[in-house]
Amino acid sequence: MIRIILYWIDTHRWFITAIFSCIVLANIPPPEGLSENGMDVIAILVMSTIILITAQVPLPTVPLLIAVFQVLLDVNTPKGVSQSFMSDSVFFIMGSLMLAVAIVHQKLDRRIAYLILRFTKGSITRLSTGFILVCALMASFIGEHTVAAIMLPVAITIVNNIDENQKNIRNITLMLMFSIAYGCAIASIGTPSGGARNAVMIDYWSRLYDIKISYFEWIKYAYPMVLIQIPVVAFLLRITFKPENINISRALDKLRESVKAEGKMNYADWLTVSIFLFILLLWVTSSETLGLGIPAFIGVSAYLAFGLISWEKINAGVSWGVVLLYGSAISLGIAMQNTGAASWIANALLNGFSALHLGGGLLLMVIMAVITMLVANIMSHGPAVAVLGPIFLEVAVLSETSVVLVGFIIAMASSFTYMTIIGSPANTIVYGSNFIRPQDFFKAGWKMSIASIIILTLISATYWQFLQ
Amino acid sequence: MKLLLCIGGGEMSRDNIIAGGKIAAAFNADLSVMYVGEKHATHMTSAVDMSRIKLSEWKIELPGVKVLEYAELVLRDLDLLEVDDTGEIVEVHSLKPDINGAYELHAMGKHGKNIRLRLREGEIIDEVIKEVDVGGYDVVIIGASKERRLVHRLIQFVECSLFITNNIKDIDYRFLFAVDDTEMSRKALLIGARTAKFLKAEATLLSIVSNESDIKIGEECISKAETILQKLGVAYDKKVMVGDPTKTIINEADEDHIVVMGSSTSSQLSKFFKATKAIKVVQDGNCPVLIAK
Repeated sequence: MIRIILYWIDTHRWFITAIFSCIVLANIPPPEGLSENGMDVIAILVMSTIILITAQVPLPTVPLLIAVFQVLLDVNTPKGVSQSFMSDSVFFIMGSLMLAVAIVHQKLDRRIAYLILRFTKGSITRLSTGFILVCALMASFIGEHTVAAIMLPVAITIVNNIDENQKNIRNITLMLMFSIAYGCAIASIGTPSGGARNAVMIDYWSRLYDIKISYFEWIKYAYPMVLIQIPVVAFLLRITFKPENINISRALDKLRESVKAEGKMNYADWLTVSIFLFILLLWVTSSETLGLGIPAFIGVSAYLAFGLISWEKINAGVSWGVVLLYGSAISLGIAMQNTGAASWIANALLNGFSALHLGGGLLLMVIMAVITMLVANIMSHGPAVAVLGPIFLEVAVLSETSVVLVGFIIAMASSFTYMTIIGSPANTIVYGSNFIRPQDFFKAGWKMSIASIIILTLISATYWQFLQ
Repeated sequence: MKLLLCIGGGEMSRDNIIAGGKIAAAFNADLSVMYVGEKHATHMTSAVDMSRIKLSEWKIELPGVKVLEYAELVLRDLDLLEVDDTGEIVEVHSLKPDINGAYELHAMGKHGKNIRLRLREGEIIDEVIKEVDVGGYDVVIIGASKERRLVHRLIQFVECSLFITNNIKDIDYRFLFAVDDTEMSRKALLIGARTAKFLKAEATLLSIVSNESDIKIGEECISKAETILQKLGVAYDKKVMVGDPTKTIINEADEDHIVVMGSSTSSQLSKFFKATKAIKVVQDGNCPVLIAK
C-alpha cells in the first residue's frame, strides 16, 4: 500500500505542487493594487500552467480544475462559470475539429500526392516546395494537424521509395518532414479556421473589448504573412538540409503509378470538397450574421447526413478535452479581465519594460512577439495564446497600442513553433514518424524563428498600419 | 519463469538482446522483449491518432515496429525462436494492439516457451512498472539511465528482480556476489549462480563489513553462500573486506564483473528519500548489476 501511495506521489509531484501553489497563493494577502479575487485568478493561472507544462495528469483535468477552482475560490458562480465556458468560438473549435475528422477519413491524400508529383518533376527542391505550398494552402483553412496527418504518409512513402536505408538520404528526409511541419505552422494563422487559438483570440476581442473581427477581416490581416513565409521556409530548409545528390525520379514514378491506380475523383470525393468549399464560403461571407460555429455545424451535419462519416468516427476522433481546454481558457481570460488580474500583470510588465528602457510602440510589440514565440515553443501554441492573450491585450490598452494589432501579433507569433516537438501538433506528428531527432528541430528552427519575427515586425510596421 | 527484456532503438540494443536471450535460455524461461516508444503530450493524442489512421491506410508500420523486427532477427540468430519447415517463425499471433496495454507479437520459442515482442508508449519507467504489474515477470532486464532519479524510481517501484545491463559488452564476465545475511542476498545468489553456471562463468564471493571486528560475521555469510555455488559447480574465489560497501563493490567489479546483490531491506519510505546501495552501485559503477527482490 505504501508503495502505491509513494508511487502516486512520485508520478504526480508536479500536480501536487500545482494544487498546493494554488491554495497557498489564494490564501496570502494580495499585493498592492490587486484585488483578492484577482489574486485567486492568478493562483488558478499558475496552477493551470504548471499542470499543462508538466503533463502528469490527463489534459482535461486542467479545464475541469479551472471551473472547479473558480467556484471554490468564489471568483464566479457555477452558472457564471458554465456560461463563460461556452461561446461561438468554442462552437467553432468543436465544429472545426469534427470537420477535420470527416476530411481525414476521406481518401483525398492520394489525390493531393498526385497533384504534388505533377508539379515536382524529379527535383527534390520542387518536391519540398510542393509540400510546403500544399500544406500551407490547406492548413490555413482546415487546421494544421489534419494536414500534417494527411501529408505524412505521402512523405514517408516517397522517402522509402528513394532508399530504404535512411542514413543515405537523411537530409532529403529531414527536408520533406520539415516541409510538412513548417508548411503547416506558417499556415495555421492564415484564417480563423487554421487553428483553435485564432478563435480564442477572436473571442477575447469580442468578449473583453467588444471588437468584432470577421473571417474575411482576419484573412486580410493574416494571409500576406502566410504567402511571404512560403518561399522563406523553402529557402531556409534548402540551405539547412542540403539534399543528397540522388535521382528521385524513379521513386516519384513509383508513387505516381500507385496513386494513379486510385482512378478519378468519385462522387464522395467531390461531395467532400464541395461541402467544405460551401462552409468556407459561409465563413467568408456570413460570419458576421451566422458566426463561425454555425457554418462548421452545417458542414458536419452535411457530412453526417450524406453518410461521408459516421458519428462514431467523429466521436472517437475529436479530442473533447481540447474543446474543454479552449472553453476554460476563454473562461479564465474573462475572469482575469473582470477581476483586474490581467490589468495588474500588464501594469507590472509595462513597468518592467520601462525600467529596462524597452519603451512602447513597435519595440513593445516585438518583445511580446518574442515572448509569445518562446512560451508557445515550451507549452504549445494554443495554451500560449490562452495564457498570454488577456495579459498582452491589457498591455496594449495600458500602453495605448492597438488591441487588434497586438492580438494579431500574439496569434501570429504563437505559430512560430519551429524549435520544439511540443510546439504544435504538426511537429508532434512528423516527429512521431521516427525520422527526426529532437535536435533537428533546432537546426532549422532558430533560423525560421528569426526570419518570422523580422517578417512579422515589417508587416506590423507597414501593411497593418495601412489597414488600420 | 518469466523475463522482461526492455530494449532501446537501433543496433545499440544488440548486446542487450543477446544478454537477455542467453539468460532466458539459461532459465528456460518465457521471454518478453519490450520497446517503449516516446511519450507524446496528452493534448496531442487525437492529432497523433489521426496521423496513425492515415499511416495504416498507406500500410506504413507504426514507429517502433522496426525495433521489434530487429529484436526478432537477433533472437532468431540466437536460435531461440521456433521455425517451421519453410523457415518461417512460428507465431501464436501476429502484431496485435491492446494485448495487456501494448501491441504484441507472440511467437513460439524453442522448447515450447513463449517469446513475446511488445510495444508500449510513454515514459519508460512508468511503462516498465505497468508491464510488470500486468505480466507477472520474475526478472526485468533493462539498460541503465544516466539520470539518478530514473534509476531510483526503477529500483524502488519495479516489483521484481532487476538485471541492469549497465555498459554491457560481449565479453566473458565474472560474477561478483555481494553477500550478507539477508534473505534478498540469498535470493540474488540463487538467481546469479544459475546464470553463472549456464554461462560457464567464474565467480567471486564478496562480503563487506564496516570494521575489523566484524570479519567473522563476513566469513559466516560467505560460508553459507559457498554451499550454493559448490552445489551448482560454479568455480569461485572469496574475499572479506572492510570499508564502504558501495565503493568496495564498484572497485572490485570494475568493468568485467556482473555484480549480484539483494535489494535493500529498508522501508519504502526510507528508500523514497534516500538512495540505497544498489542505486549507488548502478549509478556510480560501470558494470551490469543484478538486483534480487
